[in-house]
Amino acid sequence: MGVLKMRLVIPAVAEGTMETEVHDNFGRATYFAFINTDTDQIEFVKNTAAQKNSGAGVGAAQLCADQGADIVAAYHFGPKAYQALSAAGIKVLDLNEQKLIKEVYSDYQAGKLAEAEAGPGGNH
Amino acid sequence: MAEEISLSILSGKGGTGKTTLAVNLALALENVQLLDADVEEPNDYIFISPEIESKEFESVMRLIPEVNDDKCTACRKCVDFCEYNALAMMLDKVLIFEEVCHSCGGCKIVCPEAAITEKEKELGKLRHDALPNLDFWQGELNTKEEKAVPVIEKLKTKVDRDKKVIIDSPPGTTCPTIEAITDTNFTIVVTEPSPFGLHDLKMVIEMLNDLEQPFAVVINRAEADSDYLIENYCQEEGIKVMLKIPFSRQIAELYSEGIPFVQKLADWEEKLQQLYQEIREEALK
Repeated sequence: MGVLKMRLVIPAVAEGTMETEVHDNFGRATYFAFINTDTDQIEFVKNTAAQKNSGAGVGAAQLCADQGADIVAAYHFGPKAYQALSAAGIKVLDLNEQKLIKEVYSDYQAGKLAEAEAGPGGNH
Repeated sequence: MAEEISLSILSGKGGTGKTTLAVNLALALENVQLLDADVEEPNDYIFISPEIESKEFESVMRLIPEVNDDKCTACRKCVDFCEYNALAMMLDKVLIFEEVCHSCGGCKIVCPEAAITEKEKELGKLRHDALPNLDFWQGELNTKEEKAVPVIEKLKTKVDRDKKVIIDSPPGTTCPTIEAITDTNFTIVVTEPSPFGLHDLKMVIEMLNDLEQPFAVVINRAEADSDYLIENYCQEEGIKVMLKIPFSRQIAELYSEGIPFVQKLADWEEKLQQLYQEIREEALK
């Protein structure tokens, strides 16, 4: 399949650059880094869902979908976020030990990121 | 007939002895109704009616939205309205997350296409057992459900004012606790003589003062060398400590076997009856 312009989303602890740290939670991330995999351009979008008492993961998934995300790579997806992203046709990838956004991006380009399964949190 | 009162039993944190006091007090008295409103983990039944889960139950329902995709134009008004992110719009289709829905019905009202209807979903259950002298009710929240308050509201419709009503409340200071103690004449706060116990006691007392709810304290797992933690605080604040249940191996063992200690240990029936008299006098002041 022909890969044209893809929008890769990575949760970030702050608005910044490729050197910014990855946030360890999808729904509660402060910002999302959107990387255009065609041009390597990066832009940051504030996660307005992070402060919600309830449904942060769903809100964050909605934001990603609305911003035209194709792929999300993160450490922890709750079951609702996973379901919402999947319903939007967004590919969900698991991180393992990447700390900086640039590390995630290079591992993504090298095809090292595995597809995520529905995250923990559903069985509380 | 003497005027009966309703009493709620509360603690700042779980595991302090609410169940111990509620169950033993209920069994020490006559003409009692015990309602277990700790709906996230009701456990009075272990001591009162161990087989209650095999009995018939009454469902507590709530409403959740259903979207007719043929009528939906993907305008997003419902998604934007929902404060709890119970709805999402993915590829022009509404997704519903039932667990986080607060059943407010707002999405149905804002939908300009009348594409949203509501359906009933079981939120929890009420169980009942009528023992001699003790009318027992239990509220229980279904697994994966988060909203305890409607179950407690429904449970409270069973209150019988002709009986001595005892409500075993959920621990803490959140909405379910407030729902459980509202409309009761008096509250007993159970605490334990530890720094944690004192900390959580203070939180509960702050809440009770805000609610202008009359209350007194019972110390569970009381020990001579640590009770001062609670007693000093209560004395400074002018709060009555009405009873101490000692930290005793015998009481703990009976509890672990599901046996109410009032049935085994001498004097306790009388002590608990005296406690109730004192509560009643305070409540009717």
